[in-house]
Amino acid sequence: MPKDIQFPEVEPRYVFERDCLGFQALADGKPVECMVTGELFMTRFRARDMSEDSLRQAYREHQSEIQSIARDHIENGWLDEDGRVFLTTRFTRLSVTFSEPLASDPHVAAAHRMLTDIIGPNAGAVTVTWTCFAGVNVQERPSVHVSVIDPAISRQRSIAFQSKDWADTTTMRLRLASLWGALLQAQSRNLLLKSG
Amino acid sequence: MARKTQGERIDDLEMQAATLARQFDAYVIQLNALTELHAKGSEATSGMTVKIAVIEERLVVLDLKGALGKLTALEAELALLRKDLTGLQAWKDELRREKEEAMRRLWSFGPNISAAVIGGLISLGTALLVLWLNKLR
Repeated sequence: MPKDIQFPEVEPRYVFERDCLGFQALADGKPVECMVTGELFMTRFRARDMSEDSLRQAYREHQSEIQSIARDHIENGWLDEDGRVFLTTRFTRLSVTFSEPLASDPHVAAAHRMLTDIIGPNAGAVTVTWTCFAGVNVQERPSVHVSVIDPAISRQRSIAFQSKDWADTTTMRLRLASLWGALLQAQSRNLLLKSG
Repeated sequence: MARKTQGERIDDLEMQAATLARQFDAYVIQLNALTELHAKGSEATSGMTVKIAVIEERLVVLDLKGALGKLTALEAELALLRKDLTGLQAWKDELRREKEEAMRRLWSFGPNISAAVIGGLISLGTALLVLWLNKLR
């Protein structure tokens, strides 16, 4: 995760072939191109139309918010194969909650990083909660439960990790991807029902 | 309720396509993880197969050698036991024969003793008779 992310004060460039506005960020000194689609400008930042002037105006008016979203994407490593950040109407708005003892747990931090990597940059609004459950008896180690929630459809999927599960990162990635896949399946079913 | 417009239908389709694409991404991640796990498992198993084969071979050799040794020892022991058994049988036969002989010898005195007792009784009877007859005279 880059520690220092800056946005140089330069005018964004209009990318005609993609209907995007592009601006540059510096992540630990390394340039990262950020692209914001015209569709996002219209739906979220009140651009009048898809014209270059409207997009530039919307960018000027909402620059800090756009940069904050771009920063979030860079921090989460949501870059494409060419090292660019694409902000679309479906950009991921991640809300994360850690229960008290887990906030500083390195295993949980690594697992959360894995999960955000799986969720990716185009998931819309997603809530992730990490909760610690103490064992029934004293000898039993506490288990960690992770839930992913789609607030739009009020669907939730959860899994639990025991202390022995942290060692095998491949199995952990598999389980987290299954968890995310289960929520996407619920979303897909919901869309099918909605579309009639 | 009014029917959906073409635009709304396209929006729905876009959403569905996006969700399916994300599902596909999640499946690719799962598939990659499974492939990695399978490769790890195969690697571990292939090493184990060779080890198991070697161990099995060694066990067979060890077992055969051990079994042969034990079998020879058992054979020797069995021969000794058979010899002992034969000796025991002979001793038993001899003992029975001796017992029979002793019984036979014991019974061989029987008629003589009986004859002596009967003879004695007859003599005693005769003497008593003679004595009684003499008293009558």
